[in-house]
Amino acid sequence: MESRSPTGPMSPYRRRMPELHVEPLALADAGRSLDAQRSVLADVAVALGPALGGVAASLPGSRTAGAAAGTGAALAAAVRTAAAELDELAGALGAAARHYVVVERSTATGVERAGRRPA
Amino acid sequence: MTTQLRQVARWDAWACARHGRELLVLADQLERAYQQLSGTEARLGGWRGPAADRALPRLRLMTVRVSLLAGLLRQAAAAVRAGVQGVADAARLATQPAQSAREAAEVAALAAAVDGRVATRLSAVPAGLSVPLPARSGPPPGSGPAEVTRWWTALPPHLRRLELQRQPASLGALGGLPARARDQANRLQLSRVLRRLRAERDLLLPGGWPWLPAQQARIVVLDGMLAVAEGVERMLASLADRRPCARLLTLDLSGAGRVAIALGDLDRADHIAVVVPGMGADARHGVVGTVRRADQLCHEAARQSVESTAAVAWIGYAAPGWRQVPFPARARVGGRLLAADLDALAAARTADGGEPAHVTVVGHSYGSTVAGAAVRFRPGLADDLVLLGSPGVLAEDVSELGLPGSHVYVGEARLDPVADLGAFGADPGDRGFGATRIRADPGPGISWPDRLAGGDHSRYFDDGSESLRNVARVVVGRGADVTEEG
Repeated sequence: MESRSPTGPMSPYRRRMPELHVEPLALADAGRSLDAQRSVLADVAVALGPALGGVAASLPGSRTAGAAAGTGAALAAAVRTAAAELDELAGALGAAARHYVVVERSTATGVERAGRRPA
Repeated sequence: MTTQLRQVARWDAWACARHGRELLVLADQLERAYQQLSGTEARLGGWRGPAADRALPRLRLMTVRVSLLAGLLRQAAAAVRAGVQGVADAARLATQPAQSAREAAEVAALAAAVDGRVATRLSAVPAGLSVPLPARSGPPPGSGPAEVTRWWTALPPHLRRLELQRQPASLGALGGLPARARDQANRLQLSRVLRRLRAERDLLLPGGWPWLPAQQARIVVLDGMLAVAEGVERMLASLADRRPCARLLTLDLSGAGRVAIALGDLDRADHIAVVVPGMGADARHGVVGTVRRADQLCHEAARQSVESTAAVAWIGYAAPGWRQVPFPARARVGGRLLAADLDALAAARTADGGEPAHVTVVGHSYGSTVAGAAVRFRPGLADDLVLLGSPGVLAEDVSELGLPGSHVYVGEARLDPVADLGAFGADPGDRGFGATRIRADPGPGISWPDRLAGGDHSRYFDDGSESLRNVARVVVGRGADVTEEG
């Protein structure tokens, strides 16, 4: 059972059972934010090659050229890996947010049905 | 020409510098991504339960990893940028026809040394990907300002934040850190120390003046420290709306105290003026007046040039009172402290290949003696020196200051009784001293009784004065445009 995240306004149903849900809106926002940062990391990974490749090209025949190429490859790979992991996490949070919305709606329907039932 | 020298001649320092800057831009992007992720993590802070237990640690780990990557990219950029000057020198020498085999060998050795240095630093970067993150971080023991700058530059942002929280006092005093980081550390330290001092004072004074001599002595010490700290707090509050922000560069409450407040963007400004006050302007009594003078100088500099200027109100030494002012001891000690601070300022700008600022030290009264001691102690730390109402600079002529006469400016108002004393070495305003004598008339609206009572000595920074205009011209690198004394 998830408790409520403090951000975002509560829906009328959520006010009745604050301990049942995480705030789906907050989760969805987090998923989008992570996805945006994934995109930044992916761009950085792409740009790293030309930047360090440029260093290598501007110093022909040097040890620095070799070091720049090696460092560029290692850093770009690390940034790509981080981007892939962010992608996974963003996907998981987005899916969870959607799932919580479904749960919230079905719970709300259940509460309404219970309210209509004669005592 | 050997194959190696032919290759060195093709080295392109400009392209190398450009790619170094690109790496810094990429590091900035990662740092912003880290800040966004930190914000996301904070917003999900109230999420509890099994899903949260799985998601939040992963998010925390990702945040730290992105911070780590930002630090590594900065480290790579710093390695490249630090080598650019050497690359340019080696390429320039390699393109010149060598006079002898020995000269050719020397050029090849220089190129190999630069190459080796940059390659070693670059190759060390990927190792950071597999090294576990340190729980604590600090520059290597005994580091100078340049090493401190390099350490801070390469430090991942999450560790910077952590260290600022953990040790604000030592980071605030660490020469070589960017002004922004020192400001964050010193402001945090100021709030902590004010809380601690007030709490201790309340404890010692529960219902009246304590009767134990030790407690009385402690109260006196606490009151002295509180006076400095509260003065700085009030000053920062009054500067809160200023853009760019004022930076608290130095906060030291021990002894007479040391305070330095920068106005303007010290990390990027084209020109930096360091204003050194004189007698009576210690950390307890000199902050308001010195900051006001630095502010007036900044405004006038903006009128004199479109290039950016920052000014530091440097109340960084135990300014003398009447009893100490006849002696140069405090100027000598202050000079060493000023030299160390100027050194740190330069390192923070240039240690990783950044552009140096044009630096002018502006010493007023006994502060000019401090400024003289500083440039004598460490020549080359200032580009220009301005001495206003100076009683002497511990030198007999300008050559002892390590600057040519065209870069040492002396302002003496006609009715300044201190300026002609020549108490500490020769009178810098004498023609024989060899400095450039600038007109230093006070602004309009000063009464004759005030002038005759020696008021000219305190009017060098008055708005609208020829003195302030001339000082500002020097500060913005327009020394050739000053109006000179006939």
